[in-house]
Amino acid sequence: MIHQFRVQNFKSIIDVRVEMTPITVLVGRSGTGKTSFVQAIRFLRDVLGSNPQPQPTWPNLRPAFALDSATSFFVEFSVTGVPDRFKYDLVINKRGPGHAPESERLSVAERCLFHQESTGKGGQNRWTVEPELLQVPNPGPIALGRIPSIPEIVIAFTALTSGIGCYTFFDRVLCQPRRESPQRRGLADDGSNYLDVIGEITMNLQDLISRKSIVAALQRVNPSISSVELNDLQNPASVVVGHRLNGKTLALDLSQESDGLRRFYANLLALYQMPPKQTSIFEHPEDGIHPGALSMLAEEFQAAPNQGRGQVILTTHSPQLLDHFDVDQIRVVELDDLKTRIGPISAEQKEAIRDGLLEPGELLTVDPARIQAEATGA
Amino acid sequence: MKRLVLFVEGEGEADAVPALVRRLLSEKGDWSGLLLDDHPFRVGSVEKLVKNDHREWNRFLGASLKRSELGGVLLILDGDAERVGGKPFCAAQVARSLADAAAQVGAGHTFSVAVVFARQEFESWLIAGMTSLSGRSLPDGRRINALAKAPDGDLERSPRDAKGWIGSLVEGGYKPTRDQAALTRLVDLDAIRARGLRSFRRLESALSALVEAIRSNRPIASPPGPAGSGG
Repeated sequence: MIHQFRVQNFKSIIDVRVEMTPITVLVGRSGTGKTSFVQAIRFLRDVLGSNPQPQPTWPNLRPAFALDSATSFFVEFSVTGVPDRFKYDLVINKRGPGHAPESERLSVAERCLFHQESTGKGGQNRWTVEPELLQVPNPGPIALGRIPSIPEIVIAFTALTSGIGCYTFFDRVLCQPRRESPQRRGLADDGSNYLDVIGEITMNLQDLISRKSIVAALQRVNPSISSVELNDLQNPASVVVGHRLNGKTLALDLSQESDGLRRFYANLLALYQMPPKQTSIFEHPEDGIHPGALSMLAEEFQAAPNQGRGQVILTTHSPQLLDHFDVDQIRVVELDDLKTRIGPISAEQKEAIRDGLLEPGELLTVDPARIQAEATGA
Repeated sequence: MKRLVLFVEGEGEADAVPALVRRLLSEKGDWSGLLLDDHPFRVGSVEKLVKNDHREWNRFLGASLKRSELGGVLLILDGDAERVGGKPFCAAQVARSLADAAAQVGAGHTFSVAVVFARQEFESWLIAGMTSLSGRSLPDGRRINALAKAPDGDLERSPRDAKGWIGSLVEGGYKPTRDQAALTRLVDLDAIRARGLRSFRRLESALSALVEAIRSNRPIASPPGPAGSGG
């Protein structure tokens, strides 16, 4: 789980530090920087994982106000089974992630596992703390991911790369499958490799509960659904949704189902995929989903951390969805002088919600959420 | 310094009402001891506020009490409902009932409240000042018809579709969320006053009484009932 994420000099974010909980909900008007914050996490994941997914070009990610400044990331995170927290710091040179970082450091508890930094001369780096290897790799390129024989480093690398999912599901989601390379694990950000993910869930006979839970959740959206399976386990090409009608089953291709149902299902696949993500981020998961189904979706999000399916971070504009979250799970995103600020809700609004005078969803309608004055994300 | 919090109907009013109140207070030139809160509550229509024995109204007033140094709340809503609470809408009666209900959470004792209904609606006030807007441009460059002028007659009765009427005179039409605040900033307040709208006079007198109550620390709940404190 990510406990703290700090990013400096990334788009509208000059310096923002966000404390996270097992469920974290980001709210704020359009254009305040919610997506930029999610993009920062995705960018770090993809840079570390050398992910070839298309991204905005580096100049488009630079801040308008600090063009000569480095872009930096700090993540404090934990992994189940490792008693201490990890801290990872990466400072990317203004020239971009393809060049040697200005600084990179990984520590667990107070123990530094490695630290490299720029010498200031011609793009050269040096180790200030070498990884404990007989054959130390050259400093220069990003090190996390190049040190496969120290378990804690591998765990950290996994947590920050394949352990993070950043999901935005558009219309036509789960309609056009794309087969991923065997190296890629987990649901793609757009859900396009859903056949692979469904296959992994289907073939995991150690965990039939997940399959049943998914169908049960879909049945609450459409009570006639009796099954959701791949058309062929060996060479799947589509997903077949069974509908029970008058004692018989009508089989429909998933692409024939409503957009709302497919989006709902995509969110479930992200939550139930095997192995589960450490951290799953959902942007506006309410899009295209009937308001009546949002309580079911919120229940799935709330259950995920306690059921070993990882941390959930989401952005939302939906009062109905927000109503299902606790005031301490909500973070407010504001734009102040074109700079993004992120922080907990104002004290008076928290108190009003705890006293039952405001509903959480009314932070988007009646009394728009404000950041607590003393504790901004900078 | 005591805080004046505004309760408005929706998103358009959330910008327009503070702009109007700020102009009215600035005309008097005396802001001492008073802070106009920048974050109005968007409370919806009057029907919503009076339902279930004024439950939402009291709930939102309770939430406003969490804001530091609350001195008073000014509620400004459109007064164009046909029926409220199962009865034909009477602005004076409903305003009194809201003021009375607010007493349950301390209005008139620990903080002040004033209730104002724009008749027929907020846009009726803008229509009253339409002659001062003719030929002018909005901040985005759209122009108001150079021949625009307020119609004759009782503007608190007609035109009934005030938004539509304004829309016919503004280039690109009128959308409250986009244009209400901009027109409020441009309109000549004396032009509105010259049309003698009772609800606008009510707004000005209620605001004056509210400000005086906040400054003197003698809370009011306005309009008063038959034997209540004044405003």
